[in-house]
Amino acid sequence: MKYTDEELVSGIFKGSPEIIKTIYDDLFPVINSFVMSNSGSSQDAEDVFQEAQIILYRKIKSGSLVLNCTFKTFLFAVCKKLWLLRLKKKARIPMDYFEQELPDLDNETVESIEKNERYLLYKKHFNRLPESCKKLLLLFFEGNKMKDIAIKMGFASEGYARKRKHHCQKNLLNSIANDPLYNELAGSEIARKISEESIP
Amino acid sequence: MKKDYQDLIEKYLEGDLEGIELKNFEKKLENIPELKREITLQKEIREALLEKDVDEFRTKLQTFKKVGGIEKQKSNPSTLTISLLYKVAASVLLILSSALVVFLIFFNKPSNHELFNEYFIPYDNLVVSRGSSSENPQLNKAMSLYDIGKYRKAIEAFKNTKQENSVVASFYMGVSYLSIGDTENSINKFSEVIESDNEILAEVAMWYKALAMIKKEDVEAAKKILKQLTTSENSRFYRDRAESLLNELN
Repeated sequence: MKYTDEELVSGIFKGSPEIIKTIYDDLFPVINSFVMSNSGSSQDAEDVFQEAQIILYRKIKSGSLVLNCTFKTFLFAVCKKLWLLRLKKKARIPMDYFEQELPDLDNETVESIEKNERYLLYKKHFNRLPESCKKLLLLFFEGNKMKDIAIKMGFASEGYARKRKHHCQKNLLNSIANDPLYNELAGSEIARKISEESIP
Repeated sequence: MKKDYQDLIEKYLEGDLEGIELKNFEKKLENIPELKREITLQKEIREALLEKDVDEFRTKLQTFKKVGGIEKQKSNPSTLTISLLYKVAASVLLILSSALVVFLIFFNKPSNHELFNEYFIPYDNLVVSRGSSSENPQLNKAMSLYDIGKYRKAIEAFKNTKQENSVVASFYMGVSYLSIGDTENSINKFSEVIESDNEILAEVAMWYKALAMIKKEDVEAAKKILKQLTTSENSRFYRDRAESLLNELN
């Protein structure tokens, strides 16, 4: 690597094309071969590699990234953990099968990996909603008042806007709640929380 | 359950529950795990959908993947058509959205107040981590108040955080002050962050300081900061936003 770890971290945050390219060229082949030799495709490897960088980006942005190892090692660990998590969901392979392979990551990072999986799931279901629902919900989540939303959406009344919002939101929540993957993701989080809390 | 609580959940997420209503709701939260799960879900959905910068970064990584690497999808006719379709759709969308921008610029000169409201979104809470709650109880408490929009209480809690978290605390205090309209204090806090050695938060703080200046109706000061954001080697996310805000101010 021709860049220092600090340069790589700040390059990810800034979205520097040179840094992204360097990271891709230098590190992707290793992840690719790891995923391919663990029941995945090259497409899976690309997805994992991409999402790992997004997880890193969030950590950098929040100032919570602490590198106890090199950047490279850390990115690998996140990629591996993420792939094993996905593999486990896909193939229903018990996690302890991989126990010896599991990289050593702190809880906070593991939680951000799981959180990213949940966020992707929410977005997937959101994108399946009708366009008008998407638009309305975004306006609402962005903090617009119902009165203004009604105007922006061209609805006859605030009451109708409220009704539509309720309907769209219900659809979104239901489709997420009925996704077995959501229950697994949310379930694993709750289970981990309980086990953490029981440790004094 | 959902039907009965949805209104309350929304009020809670908006930070509109107060006094006895809030107390009662918090009590319910402790006792009904489903409700707690529902709140987490709804809060996370909002966060996931409002992460514009992450979306932008993801798109960048994707385009890079297509340009840079991996010789797959070699002229597979069906994927080719699809990708062509995407390109056409994307260009149409681009033309439409630029037309919209031009329209908005020409026909809609927004006031400073409107500009502030358009651009100001409280920064995501990216700090709280369950794993480290025991190490950092004060910061976590402050962040969870911040999370639900209890900015005044959050500010008080931030004042009690440990010295080593001071930059992070100052930053979120700045956003909290700005959220409740106290521009003076928010500007002071952002200045502290800008002068700190946390380069990344310093940059974000510059963006918020500019917004605070706009709220204060000190447009010249805002422009100065925004110009700095557009010229130096900054995150593209803030650079682009600074550029578009500058255009609207001019």
